[in-house]
Amino acid sequence: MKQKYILALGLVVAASFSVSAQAQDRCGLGNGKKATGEPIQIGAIVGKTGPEDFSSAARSAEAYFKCVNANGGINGRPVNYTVQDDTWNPEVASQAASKLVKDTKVVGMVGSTSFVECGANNKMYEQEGVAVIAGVGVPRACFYGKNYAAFNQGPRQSTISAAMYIADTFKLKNITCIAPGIPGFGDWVCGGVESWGKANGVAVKQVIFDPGQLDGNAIVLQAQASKPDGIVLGMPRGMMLPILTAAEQQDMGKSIKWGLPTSAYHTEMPKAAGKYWDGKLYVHMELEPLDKDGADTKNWLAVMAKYGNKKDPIDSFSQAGYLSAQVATNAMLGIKGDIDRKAFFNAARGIKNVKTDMLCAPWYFGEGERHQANHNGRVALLTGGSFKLQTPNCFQAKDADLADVLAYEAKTGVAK
Amino acid sequence: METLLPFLVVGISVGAVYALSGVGLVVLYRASGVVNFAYGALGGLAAMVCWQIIDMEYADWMGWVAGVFVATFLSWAYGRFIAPSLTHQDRIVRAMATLGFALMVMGMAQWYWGDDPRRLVLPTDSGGLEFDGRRLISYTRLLALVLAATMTISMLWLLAKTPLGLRMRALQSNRVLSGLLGVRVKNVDTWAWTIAGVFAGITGLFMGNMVRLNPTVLTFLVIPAMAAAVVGRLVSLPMTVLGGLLIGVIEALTTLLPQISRYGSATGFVVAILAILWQQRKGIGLSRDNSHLE
Repeated sequence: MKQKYILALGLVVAASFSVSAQAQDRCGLGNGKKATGEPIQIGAIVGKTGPEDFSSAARSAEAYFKCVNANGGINGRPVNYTVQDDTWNPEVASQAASKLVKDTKVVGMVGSTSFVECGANNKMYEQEGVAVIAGVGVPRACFYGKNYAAFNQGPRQSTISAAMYIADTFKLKNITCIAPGIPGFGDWVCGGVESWGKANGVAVKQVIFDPGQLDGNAIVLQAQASKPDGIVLGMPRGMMLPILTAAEQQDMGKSIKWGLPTSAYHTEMPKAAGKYWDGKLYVHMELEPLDKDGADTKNWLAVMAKYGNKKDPIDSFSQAGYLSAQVATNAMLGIKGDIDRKAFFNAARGIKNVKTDMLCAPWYFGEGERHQANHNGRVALLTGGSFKLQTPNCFQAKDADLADVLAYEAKTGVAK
Repeated sequence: METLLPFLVVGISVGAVYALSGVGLVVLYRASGVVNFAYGALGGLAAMVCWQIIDMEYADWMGWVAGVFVATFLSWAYGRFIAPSLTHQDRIVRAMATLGFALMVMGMAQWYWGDDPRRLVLPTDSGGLEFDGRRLISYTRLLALVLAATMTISMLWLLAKTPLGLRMRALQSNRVLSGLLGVRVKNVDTWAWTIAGVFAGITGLFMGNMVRLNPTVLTFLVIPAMAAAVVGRLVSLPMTVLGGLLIGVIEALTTLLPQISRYGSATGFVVAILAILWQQRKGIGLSRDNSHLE
């Protein structure tokens, strides 16, 4: 599998991966002593079984915690990391969270990534005082919870950013946004693109489809009806492929520019998309490139190589999970006295100005009513079986909904 | 009409694959009395095996053959070794056993192949028929239509004109009497399972190409297929084909109406419920026709 990653990302990544795989992994105390004290219970909820596997962040968080436990743990105490699958079902998500919070008595949640759990559990997390340092937030509710902070920008910002890039670069005037009609997702994502379009003189048409619909051709035909010069797909990568297949059969890559959110930034994507799409897909990245020459990026790859599973994905979601575990570990190491739920909560709310080479700007949890610390990214072009960076500098998503977040940052200085 | 035409064509082509799946289900049900919930899972496995072979850089045709073979073999093995031990169980128990089989196949495939992005590309994808300067239908979809028609006609011929078809119809009329009269029930059942496996394999390849190459998603392909079969009362092949086409067309047309486009996948359920209500009204529901299969 490692070889597949190397092939997919090309020689540059090959070099960085092989070097980092041999590099010393750095986690927690980094003293090489196995933690043997009383375990600290940490939980995560992921949407693993269902239309798409959203466990990548929790897998990298798990690898990081294994590394922490092999390196002195949290001042001698190992992390016992329990990951529950919500099967994309809100009821199951509630039951899983209840089990973790009330039975396992986790001190906090780390690395969660789910389409349904934020809406189902945010209220309970607030009532129980549970802080969630999530890997990846997906629907709107994940960015509007008082106790829930994720490392990604979110699909709305990512899709807006993809639209911004193709519109600015190719002077487009008519974009269609396609997204699945999942509650709190499709309308929210394409609504953001539409708002951006209105403010910037770009006509945006929304095509919201039934995620259970099997055939991508009808969706593509509907998108084609408004004769767009650009199309953005706000959806998980698994849902993109049937649409790209249908668009390829209609030869829509020739005359229309295509923008994809970060879910498409995956090592297997160039091969899955096929030769037809070479040089035609512009992919937004919510986190920094997978092959970036940075200490955290190298350490992430080293940790995944040593403590991860061979089948663990190497993608942006994995980066986010790694960061969530790293930040949570550092927060726990900073706690004086007992590490209980309240102490973890206070430590999480105190996280600010986290600088890492995996993000464009500093990250924070902060004390705001909602959390969306990451709002800067880049764009890469899928070409030659890999991704080629198109934007030398990070740029901020022009999302009208970010006003309160930006005001909070300016007022508190949590992201300097 | 010009606006509707591409949607109609797309709907008919995907409906043809639903119809093909429905025919596979009906042929098995007529012969053995088993509602096969594992149909989609076997199709999904066929698509994944095909992708794997092609990904290992073997010739495409080897992938297609391997995919269909695996689905056929597993269906045959189930029909030969597991289904006979359930012959005297209730019809619901026999159906639930196939659901268990489906979950096993789906679980194993999902575990082995995971969720990496993949596509099953067929050589017929790149060409197609043009209309008004736009591609109206790809050759892959055209092939699906032709295959659906050919295989359905072949099945009608097999049931009407061959000794195996005669035995299948005998079993459909009365399994116990047929057995007493010398029909080798187990053999005929195994043939029906094998044919169903071939159908599952072929439809799985098309769905893996046209829909999404994911074992879980393809497993649920059984839902519209089942709805098509219900339209045909699990007996009539022509009505099953009509049901499949109807579901495909309605599903495609719902995308034109933003108010209902996000509920398009409910089409199969709605069509099946309406068909059952209509059949009950006419007094030709499933229970009356098929009580002999108990």
